Amino acid sequence: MTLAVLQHHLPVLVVLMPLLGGLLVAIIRHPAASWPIAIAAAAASLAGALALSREVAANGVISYALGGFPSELGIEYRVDAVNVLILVVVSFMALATLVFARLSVASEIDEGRQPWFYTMMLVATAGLLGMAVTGDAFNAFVFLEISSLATYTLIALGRDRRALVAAYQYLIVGTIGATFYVIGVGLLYLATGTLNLELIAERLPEVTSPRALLAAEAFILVGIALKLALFPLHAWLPNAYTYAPSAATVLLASTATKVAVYLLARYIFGIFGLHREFGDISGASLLILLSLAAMFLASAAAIFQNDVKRLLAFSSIGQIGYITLGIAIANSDALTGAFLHIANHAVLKGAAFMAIGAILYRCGSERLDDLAGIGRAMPVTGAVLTIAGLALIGVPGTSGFVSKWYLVAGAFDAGKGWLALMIVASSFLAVLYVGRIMEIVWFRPPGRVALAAAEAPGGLLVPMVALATLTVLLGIAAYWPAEMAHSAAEALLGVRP
Amino acid sequence: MTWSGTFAGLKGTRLRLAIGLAVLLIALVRCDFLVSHHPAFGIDGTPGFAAWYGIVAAVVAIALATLWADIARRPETRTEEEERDG
Amino acid sequence: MAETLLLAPFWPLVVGSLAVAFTRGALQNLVSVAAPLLALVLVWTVPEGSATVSWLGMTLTPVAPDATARVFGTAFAFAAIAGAIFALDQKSTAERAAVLLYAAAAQGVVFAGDLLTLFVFWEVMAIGSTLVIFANGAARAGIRYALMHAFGGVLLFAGIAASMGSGGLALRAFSADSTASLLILAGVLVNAGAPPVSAWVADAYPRASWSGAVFLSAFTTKAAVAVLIRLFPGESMLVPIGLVMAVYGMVYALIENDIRRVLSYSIVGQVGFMVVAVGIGTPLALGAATAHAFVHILYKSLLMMAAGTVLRATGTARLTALGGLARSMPLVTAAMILGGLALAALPLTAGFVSKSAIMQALAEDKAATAWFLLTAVSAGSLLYAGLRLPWFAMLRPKVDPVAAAPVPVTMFAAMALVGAAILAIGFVPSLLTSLVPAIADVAVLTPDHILFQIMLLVAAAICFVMLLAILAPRAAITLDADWLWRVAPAMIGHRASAAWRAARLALIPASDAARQENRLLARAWVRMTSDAGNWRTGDIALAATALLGIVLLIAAL
Repeated sequence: MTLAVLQHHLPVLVVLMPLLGGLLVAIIRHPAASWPIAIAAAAASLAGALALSREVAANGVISYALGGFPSELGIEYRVDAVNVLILVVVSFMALATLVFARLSVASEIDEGRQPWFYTMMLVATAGLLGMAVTGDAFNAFVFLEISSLATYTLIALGRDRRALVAAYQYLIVGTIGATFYVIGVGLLYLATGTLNLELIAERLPEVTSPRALLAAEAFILVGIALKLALFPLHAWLPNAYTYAPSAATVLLASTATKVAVYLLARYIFGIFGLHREFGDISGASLLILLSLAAMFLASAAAIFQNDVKRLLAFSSIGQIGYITLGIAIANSDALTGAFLHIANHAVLKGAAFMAIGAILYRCGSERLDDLAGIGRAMPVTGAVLTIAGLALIGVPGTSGFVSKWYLVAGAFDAGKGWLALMIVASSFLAVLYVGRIMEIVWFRPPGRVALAAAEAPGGLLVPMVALATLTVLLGIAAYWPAEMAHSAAEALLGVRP
Repeated sequence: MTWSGTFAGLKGTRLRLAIGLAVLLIALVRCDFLVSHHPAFGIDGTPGFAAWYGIVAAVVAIALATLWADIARRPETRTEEEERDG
Repeated sequence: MAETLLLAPFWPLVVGSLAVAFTRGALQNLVSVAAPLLALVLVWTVPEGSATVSWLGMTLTPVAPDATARVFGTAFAFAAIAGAIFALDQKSTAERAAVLLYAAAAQGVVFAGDLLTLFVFWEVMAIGSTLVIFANGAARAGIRYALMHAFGGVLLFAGIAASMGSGGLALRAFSADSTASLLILAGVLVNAGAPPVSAWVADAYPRASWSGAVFLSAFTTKAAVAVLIRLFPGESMLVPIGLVMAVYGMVYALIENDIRRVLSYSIVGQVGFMVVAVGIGTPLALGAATAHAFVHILYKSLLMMAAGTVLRATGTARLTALGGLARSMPLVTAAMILGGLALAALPLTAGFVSKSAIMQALAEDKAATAWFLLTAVSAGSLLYAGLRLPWFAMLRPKVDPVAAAPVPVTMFAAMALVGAAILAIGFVPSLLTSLVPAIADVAVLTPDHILFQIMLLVAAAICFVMLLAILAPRAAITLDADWLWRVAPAMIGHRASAAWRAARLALIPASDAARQENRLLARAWVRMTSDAGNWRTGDIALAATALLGIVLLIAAL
């Protein structure tokens, strides 16, 4: 197989690499072999995603017909400026998480189950990448289920028995979401006779019964909203993040909801079009309302948490609110901000959860009170947590500032200045919950736990310091990610392919 | 505090200091008749303006502060927090 | 021009801050003094012209040296040098690194050439100053301070983003007539210590260490004045705001007990003078505000150093506990008197030069109310700074004065440096007027002005001698607006729950009911807050179905 052929098959290879890696790990099932295979698979996937991003930037949309069937019949993989960004983010975060996972998994999960854990990580990654890359509505459902099933397993592997309950709850909720989604896809198929997203969009004007379309829209959007933990459908998330193994939380927090957000944006802009008004209340108004509720209520709930992971989980729900708000505002700047925040939040939340994982590794506790003075025992970990916290607030010099800047600019551009005020006002809540962590980590006298702790080992430090550095870099040298997010926004808005 | 109480200690050095300052002020006011003024509002160019205005201002400032202290002064409550903070 | 960017005065301070964090001993001392010295050199050598940087499609001007920037930069750098010398014996590396970062951000703010850069340094300044307070272990005060500045930063950020549409990021004169400019004004005024949030100054600054307060008193509020000069020259709204600040600061300074709380309130009062001058907005008034900021940094540093020395030597800065220290600490007494007299604008001190400029600006603008009020406040400021502080802290006879531990000679060297600067400008006003050409024509050392000021001060001094007993310090605190955000929330919570309980008991007069209701309330609170994520699966499904129903309903209508 020559390089050109490889290049041609890249869209499918990106998904296949982790899938095959997962299979290999499951077959070999040797604890020592699992990690290198997983790393190799994730690295190959990231390389593929980066190659795709270069190609998209140079040549525009890549269409790949799976098995060579035309898109009316077969499944089309379609890579454009929008999902190539998601591919890069997901594969990069998967790689970073796997690097982190070696020590973390070794300490949290029984040796016999470790290969299965890596398998599930890779399968979940493959599912998420598949959801991003596919241009077929039903194929997206299949990948959604693949990633979800793997995720349920990952959560259930948590060290606490409550992990089982959390996984079970997520399973039920996720299944409801998937069912809604597939019902919606079925309705779309009835109306248009195709499952290909491009073709659906082409045939929509000819659809005679708008009712079926509206029902399809409702089912699909609510189904996806469940997966992305849009307020008030967020309630599965805190427990799932809290009780999952540290490495699984990192992967989930930085990728799973982000891909669902991408799918939401794809449907809203590619198929349904937010501009259409439903009676007096537009769909956008509803999304804005729910986003604001997430930004304020979830962030407010975060302030009161006593478990750091839960605190960060609630903060994630709030941060997803910013992303959906950007989608709801739906102009170039706001969408750029939304997509930037997908990437930025993935990196910074990954760093934060890794820091918590490292603390768990050293101290065996993630209760906020047990973290008193931990910054003195684990200065590097504390610094990573601090940088991630500052980025959550949106302090200049961190990536969080850049995405908020675009969101605010977009809100003003749309003539919704009050929304911009809401964005900055809700940052204030982030100041409160981040401040609470900082106060405990740095300024409390070291407690029993902190006195016994030592700095995390290098295997955990390397990935989290890398992510923290990236958080700062993305905040200063923001040109490249902003350009990618801008292309994604323009592609969604139809300004350019 | 009564007014007689306020001035009760006004003897000895303090009294002499007050008298000395008053004499100085009178001398300054006499000098003020000799220099040329550049008033902006009229009254501020009159000789001795600063002297009486200073007295009025200081008395009003002290009265204002006393009044506000009567309303808003509370026994110290912050020591607890300060001790905890170290 | 690249060298403008490379030679920006904040660089040596940023690098110095890092270097101080990772060095100890003599090297640390050397770096902490050399960094602000180098910054002072760069304040004057950084070439004119603006280096632009393209960032996310916006053109930023991180460094735009002009006359105003250089004057403020000089004052900041000088305060940082003197403060660093003063703090040579400070053992907390965290504080010594934080003050340099704080100083760097202050330089960045005054040299910023666009709104975004300004905002970035503004936030770094808030972080640096918060760290200075944290470094003294004052966690709660530090968090209150951080929240207040986060609030100001949020207002400023929203305002900057809103003003992008009309005029982009350029620094320009706004008039407070649109939402955007009002937000910017409010954000800047929070840092300036304007009402209704002035109380943060006196809440936070006395909680810094003996050396940290010197830096705090120099930068944040004066950087806000510099920004007001750039963004809101001649904004008439500032005149009444500044007058309220001047009177408020004076009244509280007259009754507070802790020296550093008195000085903190005095900062608000003196910044009020500058805010009034900015509100007048003539070139002379703006120059006067700049000059007064410069001089104020000098004498307030000196006063804070004196207060810090007293605190360090005796362990307290409460007037009620002090007294009788003139014999054991003669130099500190002299420093405190000099600083207080400069604050009261005694002729031959620097304060006289800058306050004369402000008064002349008001007179030329025929701003009668402001002129008479601020003249009165000048007389009042002699009472609290020039007389009350030195008398009750140092001079008044006391049978059993607190013991004063010896302090390092470097602290005296720093005070001597600042004191010399105050006297030098006082005797040779052209030292200051050459920096701020706009006030060059102000008549300073003319007979009628000197006479006027001395009469005013002597008259006030007579009142002080006569009414000494009223001004005696008490071991008490005076309520301020910070009560609203420190005490009121908890109190309202208590009252509300008490009222609720009483109401319940009135309806169901049984102790069982009260206990049950308490448990219910507690459970509801836990459900709403820490337990917020523990929904039953059925509830989630219900929420999803409800949302689906709503979307469908909207679609059907």
